[in-house]
Amino acid sequence: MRIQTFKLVKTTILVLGLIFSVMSYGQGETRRISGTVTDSENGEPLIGVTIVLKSNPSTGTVTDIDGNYSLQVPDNNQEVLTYSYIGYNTEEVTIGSSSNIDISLELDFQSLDEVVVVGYGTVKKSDLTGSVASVKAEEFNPGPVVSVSSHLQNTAPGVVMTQTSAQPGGNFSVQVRGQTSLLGSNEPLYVIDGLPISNDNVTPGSSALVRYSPSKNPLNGINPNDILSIEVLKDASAAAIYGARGANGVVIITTKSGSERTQVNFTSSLSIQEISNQYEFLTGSEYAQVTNEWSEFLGLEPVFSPAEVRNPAANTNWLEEVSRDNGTIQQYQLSASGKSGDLNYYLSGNYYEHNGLIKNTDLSRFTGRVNLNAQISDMVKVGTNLTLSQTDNSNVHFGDNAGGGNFNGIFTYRDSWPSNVPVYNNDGSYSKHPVVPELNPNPVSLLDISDNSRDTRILGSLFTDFSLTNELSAKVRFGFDYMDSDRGGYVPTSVLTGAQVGGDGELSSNQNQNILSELTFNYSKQLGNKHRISALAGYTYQTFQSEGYNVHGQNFSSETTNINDMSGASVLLPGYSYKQRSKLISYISRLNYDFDDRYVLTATMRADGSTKFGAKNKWGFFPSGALAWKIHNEAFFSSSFIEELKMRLSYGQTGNQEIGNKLSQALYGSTRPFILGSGEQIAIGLAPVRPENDNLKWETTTQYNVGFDISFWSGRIQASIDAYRKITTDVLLNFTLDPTSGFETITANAGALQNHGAELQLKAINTFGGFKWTSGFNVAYNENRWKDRAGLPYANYEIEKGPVQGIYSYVVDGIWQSGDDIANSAQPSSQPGQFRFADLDDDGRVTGDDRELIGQGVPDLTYGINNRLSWRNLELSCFLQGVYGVTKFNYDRASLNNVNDILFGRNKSRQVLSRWTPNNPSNTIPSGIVNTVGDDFRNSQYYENASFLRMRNITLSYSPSIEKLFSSFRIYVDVQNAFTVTEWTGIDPETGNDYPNARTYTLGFDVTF
Amino acid sequence: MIRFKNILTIITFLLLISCDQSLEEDVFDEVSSANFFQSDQDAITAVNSLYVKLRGAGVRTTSDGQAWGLFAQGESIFRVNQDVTDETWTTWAKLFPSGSSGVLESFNFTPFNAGGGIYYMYRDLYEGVSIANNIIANLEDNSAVSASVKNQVLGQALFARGLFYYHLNSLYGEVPLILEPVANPFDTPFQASEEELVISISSDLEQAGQLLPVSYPSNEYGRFTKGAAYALLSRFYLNKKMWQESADAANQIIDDYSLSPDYASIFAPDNNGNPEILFSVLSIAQAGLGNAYLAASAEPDQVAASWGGDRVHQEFYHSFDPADIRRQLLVKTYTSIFDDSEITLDDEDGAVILKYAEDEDHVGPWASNDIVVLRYASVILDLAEALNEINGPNQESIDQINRLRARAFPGDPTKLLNLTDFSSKEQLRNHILNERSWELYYEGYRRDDLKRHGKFIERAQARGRNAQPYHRIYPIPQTYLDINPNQKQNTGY
Repeated sequence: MRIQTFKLVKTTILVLGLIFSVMSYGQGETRRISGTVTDSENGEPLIGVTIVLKSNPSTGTVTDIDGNYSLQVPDNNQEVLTYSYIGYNTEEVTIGSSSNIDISLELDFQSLDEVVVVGYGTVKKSDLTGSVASVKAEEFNPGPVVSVSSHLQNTAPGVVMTQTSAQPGGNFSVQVRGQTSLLGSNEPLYVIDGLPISNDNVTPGSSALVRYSPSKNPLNGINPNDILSIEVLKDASAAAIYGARGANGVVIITTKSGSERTQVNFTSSLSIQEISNQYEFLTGSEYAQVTNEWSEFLGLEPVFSPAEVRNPAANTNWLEEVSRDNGTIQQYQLSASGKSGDLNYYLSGNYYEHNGLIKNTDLSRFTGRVNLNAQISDMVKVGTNLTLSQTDNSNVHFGDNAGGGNFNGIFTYRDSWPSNVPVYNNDGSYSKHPVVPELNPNPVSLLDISDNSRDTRILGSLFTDFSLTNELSAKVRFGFDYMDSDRGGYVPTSVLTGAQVGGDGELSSNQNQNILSELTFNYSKQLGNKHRISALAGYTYQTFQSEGYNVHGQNFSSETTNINDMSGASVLLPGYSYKQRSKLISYISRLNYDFDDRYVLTATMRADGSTKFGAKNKWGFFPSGALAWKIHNEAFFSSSFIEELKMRLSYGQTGNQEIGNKLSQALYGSTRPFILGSGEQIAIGLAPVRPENDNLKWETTTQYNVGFDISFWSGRIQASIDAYRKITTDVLLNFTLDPTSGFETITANAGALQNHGAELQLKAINTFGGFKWTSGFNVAYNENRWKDRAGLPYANYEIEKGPVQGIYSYVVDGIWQSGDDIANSAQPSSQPGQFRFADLDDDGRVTGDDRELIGQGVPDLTYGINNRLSWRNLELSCFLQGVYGVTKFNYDRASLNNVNDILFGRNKSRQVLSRWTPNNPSNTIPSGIVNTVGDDFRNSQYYENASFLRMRNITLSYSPSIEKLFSSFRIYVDVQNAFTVTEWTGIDPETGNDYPNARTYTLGFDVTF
Repeated sequence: MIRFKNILTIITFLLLISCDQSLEEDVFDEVSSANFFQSDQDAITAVNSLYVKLRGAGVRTTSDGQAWGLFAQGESIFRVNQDVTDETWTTWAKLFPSGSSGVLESFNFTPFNAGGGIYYMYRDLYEGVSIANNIIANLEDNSAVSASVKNQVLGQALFARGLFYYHLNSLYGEVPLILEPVANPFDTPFQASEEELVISISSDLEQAGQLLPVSYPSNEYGRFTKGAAYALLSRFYLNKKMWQESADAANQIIDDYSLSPDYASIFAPDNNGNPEILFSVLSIAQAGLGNAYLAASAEPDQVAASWGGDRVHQEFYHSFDPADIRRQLLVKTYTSIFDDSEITLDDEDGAVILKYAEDEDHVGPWASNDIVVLRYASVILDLAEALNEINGPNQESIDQINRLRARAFPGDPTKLLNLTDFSSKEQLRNHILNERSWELYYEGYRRDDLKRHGKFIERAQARGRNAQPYHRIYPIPQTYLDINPNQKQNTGY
C-alpha cells in the first residue's frame, strides 16, 4: 500500500513534469538544465523544491521524489535559477554554460535577522533589549480555532491562557507574568495592526436570571487565519511604550500583507466533537434506593415504594437529553495576496461555524479582510488594514450561578434533577420537579428558550508614511474599532419561569467605539562605523465610547411574535441604557543606541493623560530603560559552537488604567424604583453614587528583568532565559467606610502586590536521515504574593504576605467512625460518618481559625512541549500543554457526593453508593449528616489539585508535490484534546464544570494556487 | 518634498487642535453634583431617593448584601424590634439557631455575629441620614428651587432624618450625630450624647411637622405627612418619658385624622388611601416592589408562594379576648391548598399572622398591600398613655382607648373600658401596654414599648432567654468599630 502510494506520487510528478515540458516548449532558443537537489547536512534528496527562472518566475519546476529536476531555460549563460524550499535557505545559481546543476540546500534555522514587532515599530530579533515572545503563523496549529487566544495557549512562556468556558466561542482569561490588580483588569492590552483595542466584551449580558450564559471571547471577531504573527511584550522595557495600559503585558497582533508573488489560498476543515469526560450519576433505581436509605437513616418514612425502586419511572440521563450526538465545526477561508505595480494587497474571506455539544449552542461567523498598501511616490506610502466580521451566537441558560453551583440552568441535571424523573409527562408536557415544582424548571424545557446575539465588528486603520529625509520619516495613523452587539432572548411559557410571568423577553443592544489618531516620527542615523541611533517620538489621542440599552417585557400577547413585537408585552419592566466615554492623550518617545553591535541601549518614556482618574492625578509618566550586551561580538569571545550569547537587562514602569469610568467624580445616579400616588405609579429618585475621589490613579507596576539569549550550532539550539520581579504599587483596594459617610466602600490606591518568576524557552532543530525534528519547550514559573495589604482586614489564619489567590481551608483528617472517642475530641458535637477536621491550632476545638493555606488558584508552573517531525512530505506534530501547582474547588463533587439534600430531589453521583453508613465505614465519603463545625463543602477534600498535562493537538499532515496544479497543497488530520493527565476528579481541570469539554477530530486541507 | 512637508504640518496642526485636549471626564448617564439641585424637579427627584431607602437596602442596586431593606420584609426594622420580644418570633430560629433570627430569638447577638438585621440596619439607616443631609444642605440658600417646593422637600428630608435617627438611637443608643454632608469619606466621628440626639431628633420631627401637609393630592399620595411627623414625635417623646411633650405632639394631629371603621381593611390589598394610615411603604404585586409579609408568615401549603416562619408566640395569642376581632388575623388551623386537608399548627409554635390579607393577584410572594409604618391608632394609644402618666387614670385616656376597643369588639359595649376599672396609674399603664400589643402587633412597636415599661429584659428572661440588662440596645457591628477608633462599643458587649 505504502509502496503503491509512492509509485503513484512518482508517476504524478513525472506526468506533471512532462506537461510542464510541453508547456514550456517553443519559447525561442532554449536549453535543458537538469540536476539533483539534496540536503547539505545528510545528502538526502529533497522532494518538492521549487526551481524558477529569476527573470521569468512563470518558468519553473519542482524536484521529484528522488530530488531530480529538469527545466527548459532560455539559452543565456546569465540566467539565474532560484531554488527555494520551506525550512531551507533559498539559493540562487547562475547557469553559466552547464547543463547539469546539482545543488545542496542548507537548513534555515530561525535567523537572528528575523524581525520582531514591538510597540510603534519593529526591531531585529538580535537587537531586542526587552523580553518579547514571538509566535509566527507557521507555528500555529492547523486545527480549527475561533480566536487567536487558542494560538497563544502556553506557546509563549509567561503567558497563561485559561479557557473559562468550553462553549463555542468561550472566553479565555489571560495573564502575562501574574496578577497585578485586584479590582482592575488583569488582561493584557491587545494591539491589532498598531491599533490598541478595548477588549471589553460588547455582547449584552442578560438582566434576567433565566438566560445567564458565560461571556464569549471578544477576540472572536478577529479571524485567526489572517494573522501573520503575535508578539507578547512581557517586560517593562518592551511594554512601557504603552504606558498606563502596559502593566499586564501587551499582545501585538499583526495581520498578513501582500506577498511578492500572486497567491490564492483556500483552506477548509471539518471537525467532529465528542464529550471528553462526564460524571456517572445514580440510575433511577439507585436514586430511589439511596433516597429511601437516607430517609430511613433520618428515621423518616421511605419516599419510594419497593416497586418504584425496582422499576423506576425513568432512567433519565439529563446530560444526554440536552446534548447533541456530536458537535461539528466547519471552516472555509479564501484569500488572495500579491502585488500589482505599487500596490500590495491581501484579501480574505472566512466562514466559521461551530455547532456545540449542547443543543442550541452555536456560533457562526463571517469575516472579511482588506489589507492594502501602495507606494504613491518616492516619499509617500499609504495603506489600510480593514476587517469586518459578523458573529452569530446562540446561547443556552447555564443557571444563575448562585453560591458556586448553577441552579435552574441547563446543567442543573447535575444537581437538581434525579434520574428517576422522566423528561416528559404522558401527555407530552414537561415533567415537573418531584419536590420543588415551583422552583426548578425542567432542564430539557430550557432548550425552548431562544437567546441569540449578533456581534458586528469593523476594525481598521488608515495610515500614511512620509519619508521626509533618508533619516527621518513620519507616520500618520487613523484607527477605528466599532463593535455592535444585539441580543434578544425569550423564555416561553413552556418553561416554568416563563409560565410564571406569561413569557419573558428582553432585547439589548450595546455599541463600543474606539477612535485613534496618531502621529509618530522616526529618526535613524548611522554615525561613523560604530554608532547607530534611532529615535521615535509621537502623539496619540484615543477615545473609547460605549453605550447601550435594554427593553424587558413580560406577558406577551403572542408567543409567536414574542420579542419581535415588544408592544405585545403587557408588562414592561424597567429597562436601562448607558453611555460612557473615556479619553487617553499620550506622548511617546523611544531612543535606541547601538554601539559597535555590542551594546544596545533602549530608553522609552510615555506620558498618559486619562479622563478616568481623579483631578489630582490626570497625568502619569512611565519610563523604562534597557541594555543588551551581545557578548558574542566581543573580541574576547570566541566559540566554535555558540552563535549568539546576549544578555539583557531592563527596568521600567507601566500602569494599569482599566478600572472603569466615572469612579473619581461625585455623581448622582438613578435609584431603584419605588411606588408613589393613589394610582400606585412607579417613581425614581436620584441619589449620590459614590464619594468623590480626587486622588484616584492608575496602578503602577515596576519591573526588573534579566535575560539571556543563546544560540548554538548554527542556530540548531536556541534558548532564552528570563528572570523578573514585578512590584505593583498603588493597587486599588476597596475600603469599608464608616456608614456615616453614606457610602459602604471607597476605592483607593493603597496596596502592593508582587510577582516574581523565571521563564525558559528552548528550541531545537535536529535532522537525521531524511527526518527533520523540531522541538520546542517552554516553561514559566511565577509566584504572586501580597506585598502590602494597606490595613485591609484579613483573617487570623491568612498569611499577611501570602499568595493573592491563596486558598485557605479546613483540612479533612478522615471520617469519624463508630468506635471513635468523639466526645473528647476537638469536635465533640460530631457524629460517626462526619468529616473529622484537623485541629490545626491545637486549641482543642475545631473553629473558624482551623484553616490553613492549602493551595492557590493560579498555577506555579505553566509549560508547553511542541514536537514536529517531518519526513519528506509527511509531518507529524503534537503539542502538550500543562499547568502545575493550581488548586480549585470541585463544587460538583462536594455537592454530588453529599446525600444530605437528596430529599429535596437532588441528583447524586454514583460514588454515594459507597458513602459512610454504619455498615460501610467509608473513610472518604461522609454520611451526609451536616457537621455543625468545620465545613462539609469548602474543605481540603474538595479543593483539588487542578494541575494537568494535556495533549492539546496531534496533527498529521501530508503535502504531496503536485505543484503544477497547486503551488502547495496540504491535507491533515488533527485531534484536539486527545487526552488529559490530571488528578482532578471533576469534568475538566481547566474550563470548570459547566459546559462539557470536547475532544475534536478534524480533517482539513490547505491549497495555494 | 516641500509639498509633503506642508501636508504633514497641516496634519499635525489639525490633530492637535481638532482633538479636545481636556481630561475632564464626560459624563452622560449620571448627573454631576455641580449640575444638580438646579430646579424644583431636581429637588423632588432628590427627595424621592429617601422613599427608595425605606424599601430597599441600597438605593442604587440590590447587590449590596440584601435586597429588602428598612421596612420591607426581611432583615427589617420590624424584625429587630419584634423577634426579641414576647410578641413574635420565627420558626427559622429553630432550624438555624446561628442565623439572624436565631440570634435575635436567643439574645445571642454579639458585635461579631451582628450580620443580618443588626448590621444592615446600622449601615442602611446611616445611608439614609447621608442622603437626607445632602438634600438639606443643598436646599440651603438655593435660589433655583421655589420656596413652596423647598419647604415640602425640606419637610420630607427632615422627617426622614428624624426617622433614621429615631431608629439608630432606639437600636444602638448613643450613636454619632452627623447633620451635614461628610466632606471626607474616611472621617471617623465620635458618638453623640443622649441629650444631643434627643434635641436633634425632636427638632427635625417638629420642623417636619410644621412644613409637611396633612395630606397630598392623589398623585403624590405616599409622601411623608404632617401626621407621620407628629405620630413619630409623640412616640419618640413617649419613649423618652417626656409625657407632656408626647401628649402635645399627639394633640397636634389628633383631630386631623380618623380611624378606619374596619380593622382588617388597614392591611388589605386595597389599603392604599386608608384614612388611618399616616405613612406606608406603597406596594404593588411586582418583584422588589411588593409586600412579602404574608409570604413570610403563611405556611407554604396555606398561601401559594409563601415560605412561612413568622409567628406570634402562643402566650401572646392566648392573651387576647377570644372575641377580639384583631385576633381573627392570627390563625392556628387552616385548609391545605394542596390537598384540602385540615392542618392544625403545634400550639407551642404559636399562630400564623395573616394581618396582610392575601392579594389574589400576587406575583410570587409579592403582594400589593401597602406596608403600614405609622398609623393613627398608635397616636391614640400614645396620647392615652401620656395622659395617664401625667394625670393618672383619666377619662380622656379611657375614651381614646375605647375608640379602638369599639372597633375590636363591634356591637359589644361590655368590652369597653370604664374609668372605674382602673384604680391606679400602674393598672392603666399595664392595660395600655397590653392594648398596644393587641392593636399594633407585627408592626414593630413591641421592643420600644417593653423597654419604656421596663419589661423588655424581664420578659425575655421569663421566656427562658439569656437576656441581660445591656441587651436593651444592640451592639455596634464589629466591622464598624474596627474602622472607627473613635467609637466605643455599647456597655456589656
